Amino acid sequence: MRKNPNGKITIVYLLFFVFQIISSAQTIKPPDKFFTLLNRIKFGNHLFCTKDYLRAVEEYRSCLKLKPNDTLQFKIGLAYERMKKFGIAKMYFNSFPQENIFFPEARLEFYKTVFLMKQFREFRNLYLGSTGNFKYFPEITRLNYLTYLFEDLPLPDSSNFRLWFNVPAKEEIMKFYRKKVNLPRKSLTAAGLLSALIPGLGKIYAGELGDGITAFIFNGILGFLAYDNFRAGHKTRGWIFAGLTAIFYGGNIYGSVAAAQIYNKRNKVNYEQELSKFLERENYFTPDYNFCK
Amino acid sequence: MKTKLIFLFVLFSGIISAQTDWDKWEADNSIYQLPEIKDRDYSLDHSNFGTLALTMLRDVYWFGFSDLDGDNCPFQPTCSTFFVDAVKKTNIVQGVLMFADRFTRDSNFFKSESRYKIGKSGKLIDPVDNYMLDENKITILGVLPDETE
Amino acid sequence: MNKIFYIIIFVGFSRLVAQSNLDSQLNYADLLFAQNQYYDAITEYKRLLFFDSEHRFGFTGNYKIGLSYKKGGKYDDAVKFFKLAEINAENDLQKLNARLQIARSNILRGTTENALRMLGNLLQGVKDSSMVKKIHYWKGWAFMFADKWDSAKAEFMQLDSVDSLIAVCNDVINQKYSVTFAKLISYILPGAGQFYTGHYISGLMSLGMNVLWGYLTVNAFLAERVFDGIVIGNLLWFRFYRGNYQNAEKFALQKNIEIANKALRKVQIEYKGEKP
Repeated sequence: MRKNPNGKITIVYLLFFVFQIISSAQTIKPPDKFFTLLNRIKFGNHLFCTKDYLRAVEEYRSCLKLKPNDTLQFKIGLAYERMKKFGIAKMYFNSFPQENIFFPEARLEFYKTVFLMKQFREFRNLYLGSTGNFKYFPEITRLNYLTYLFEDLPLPDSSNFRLWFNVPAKEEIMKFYRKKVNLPRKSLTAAGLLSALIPGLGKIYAGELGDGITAFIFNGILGFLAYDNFRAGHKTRGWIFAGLTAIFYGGNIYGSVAAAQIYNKRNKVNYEQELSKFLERENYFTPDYNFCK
Repeated sequence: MKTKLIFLFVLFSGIISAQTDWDKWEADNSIYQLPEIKDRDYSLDHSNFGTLALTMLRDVYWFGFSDLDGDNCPFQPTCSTFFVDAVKKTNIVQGVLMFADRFTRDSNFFKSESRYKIGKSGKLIDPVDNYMLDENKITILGVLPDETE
Repeated sequence: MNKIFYIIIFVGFSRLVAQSNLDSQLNYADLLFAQNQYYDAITEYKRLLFFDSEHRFGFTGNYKIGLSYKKGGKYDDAVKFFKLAEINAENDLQKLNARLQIARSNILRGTTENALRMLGNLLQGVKDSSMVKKIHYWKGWAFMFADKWDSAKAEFMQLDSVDSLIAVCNDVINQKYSVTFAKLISYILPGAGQFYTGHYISGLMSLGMNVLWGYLTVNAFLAERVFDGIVIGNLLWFRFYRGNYQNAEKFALQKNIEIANKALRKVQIEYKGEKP
């Protein structure tokens, strides 16, 4: 055998490679190539854009352990928000580091999560503490106005609404404004009084025609039976029917009030569902950031 | 009809697939069973004398009448359960008034089905909470929680 | 000479690594799958698909994701990925396997009508006898999950070595109560259907109620109190008579579901062969 230092090295290298291949095959390990920082970010972005948010968060978190990254840090919060884990998103955005370039956006998203959690009173208090030089002041002002559409409070002047909602969907939002002003309502007192006057009338007023007629017939029959029995001298039976009449008479007044309340709630819920759908479509008039362009 | 179904399926599967993995999950070792027909829960409520008497009364009614005279109630919960729950959640006077109102609505031959959500069993869902005169407790069509009984 | 040698080694090695990166990613994902970590396995299969620029693993990756979802009981997602696997299939066998998995997911999801329709369609296009047997086998499972034990048995009868499944089907068929019979005998004698299904107290109560209200109705008519007779007959006797045969039907159905569920538990837990 010829002494050749190069050949020795070759053999050593070969052995080394063979060993590497064998060892990697034995202890199943993921290939390093797919787990470099750059590739992890790429894969994480892919997950984020296919709405696989929780996996994206995991991927981003592993990336952040290797190297700080402002965008990823922001997108983690966004992922929680889009998974509708508003509680986590709210805390996350609230404690977002000021030195991150996405700090204003995180602040806006913090406001938005409070809004999405329907914590409208808290939202308005937070809004009172905000200042006009905040980058997204118009956005949070709009959200602030929108809180009124979800609550039973006097609405702000429509000219203010018009002023701040200078957006393509302006007319639609004004339509919702007018709809809120004219939301059909039935008075609970009127429903109760009407049924006290004529059994069943309150139910009819609250939109329940069939129930109203049934209540009227019920009260009529029971009342007649009470009267008829008293007249015929059947005192005990008379009292039983009188008692039943009283119960159904009271029950109908109670039920009329409840029916009016349900009527109001139904209109309110339908209105809010419609409004929420619209706002979701418009992304609550907040920026989309276009991370998945 | 068929295209509508396919469209619904696509829409539905789209929503599902986006959300399944928003929470970590484990292997599912449950086994498939046919939905069972459950017996009524006859258990007594011992929290105080009133509820005990009430649940006893209910059990007697169930045993002697309700369980023997067939399926007559279009509502869920049934009138007797509604009554017991109404009294438990409020008081005897309010509970009786709520029951009288429910009985009237039950007797209405022309129930508007659009007013009630229809449960898995085909019954109209009419929860006690809707009649407690507290607007926050009222649940409306489509946003009702799953049936309780 | 030496230089060429090095180049050959380098090129060969780098090609080997380029190939094995995806392969070892697949191995890694398979390992997680084998350790029942299905959620994480899906992440790694997705990573495999993401970096697989030549789409070599289009079938395998999606198929394995489907399997993972199936193991997690997420059948809607499983079906979605098996469909992707089907689209990415490179040959007929892969396509068939993906379709079988879709049918099996439908069985487990309880949408057995879908499963049966799919399996029926598959049966029409397949010639290979072992594959035909496989399809009959899954049809049998679909029928069991659909609570149609006669049909399940008929499917299994066409196969060999599924005696234990046939035995289970036979047990259910023998044990089940006849709903029609229960109802019929309660029409004739109130309470009889309840006795047939073992609900003796309810049967006695029904019988008692019907005798009582029937007696009072007849009595009223005999005493020429026609109005009373109509009221009692309609509001009470008829009500309890109807309740009586409704109960007989309900009890029989209830028992039958219990019997079927016991069998379903048995085949899913104890049966040693392949399960959906």
